[in-house]
Amino acid sequence: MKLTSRYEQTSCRLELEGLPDVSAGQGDQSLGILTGFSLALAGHTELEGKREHLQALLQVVMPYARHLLSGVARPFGDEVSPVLIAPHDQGHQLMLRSSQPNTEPLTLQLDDAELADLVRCLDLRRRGWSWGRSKGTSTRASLRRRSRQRTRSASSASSS
Amino acid sequence: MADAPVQPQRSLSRRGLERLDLLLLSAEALDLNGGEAMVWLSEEMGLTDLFPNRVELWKRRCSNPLRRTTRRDRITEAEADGLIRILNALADRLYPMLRSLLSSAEPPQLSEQRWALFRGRLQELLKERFNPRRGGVQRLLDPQEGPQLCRELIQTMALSAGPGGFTRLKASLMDAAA
Repeated sequence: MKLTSRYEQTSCRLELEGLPDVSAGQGDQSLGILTGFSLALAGHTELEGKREHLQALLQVVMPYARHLLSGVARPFGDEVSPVLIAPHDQGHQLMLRSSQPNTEPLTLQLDDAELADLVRCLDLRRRGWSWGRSKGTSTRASLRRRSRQRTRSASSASSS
Repeated sequence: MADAPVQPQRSLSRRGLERLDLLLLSAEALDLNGGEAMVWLSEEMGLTDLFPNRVELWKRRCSNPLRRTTRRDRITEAEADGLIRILNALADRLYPMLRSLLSSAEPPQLSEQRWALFRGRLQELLKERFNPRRGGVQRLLDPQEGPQLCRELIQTMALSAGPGGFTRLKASLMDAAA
């Protein structure tokens, strides 16, 4: 049975989909194996993807935050990475590349507060769910962008 | 195969300790009851073995060489971890305030008032407790350099909140050059 968990910060909402990890003795209501996610960044867009895409996002955003904490603001990811984050214009530019042909990369500009919200949501990976088993899907597979643009402003979104 | 060498306990460098104490001071500048909150959180998190009372907690913070009255004894790794845990909990508690300071969506005038209030309180605490002859203190009090350094302190606190905040902050403090 598919389970979902939702985590919200003021400008960010992360929804995880998955299954209980019965091999780890988890109950029916524990999301143990992640299969997909959606990430809504208020005022920007809403993204959907599989486990691998979230993993790619974590692989650049978390070290970026870690270095920023040490006063080293430097890009993570490169021109072939599915996700790239770099300091830009007193904020942070997140670039998501699609492997779908003829699809322009999606570029999002985050301020410091939005980055902190995103990091806090992504931190929730520490709450016990695993990556599950890899099925060999390329991490370059695209993050799908939901067609609808989010209209509500960062300030009106509720905080968890 | 030879046994791997036992990893020595690593405590914070002088620079790391300075940053940690400055972050705790920033929490006090944001919250007038910040000092009390530290004691309460220390008890709540079961850190009474490390910090049995507010005086001991205060003494550990006074290992910071930037303090007006500084203590020569170095803090242990467990004590440093305890202080980082307290800061992590304080950052969680103060997160809405940290967020509103960092957000560009806030009205500029209101945002500037909040920053001025925070900087004013931090400067008062610095003048009261820190050695004004130290370069690090002078830079924070400097009207040109101070605001950017204050922003870095708030950004550090915001990224030190949350479930991964402890690990991130500890790694960053360990990076700090001695």
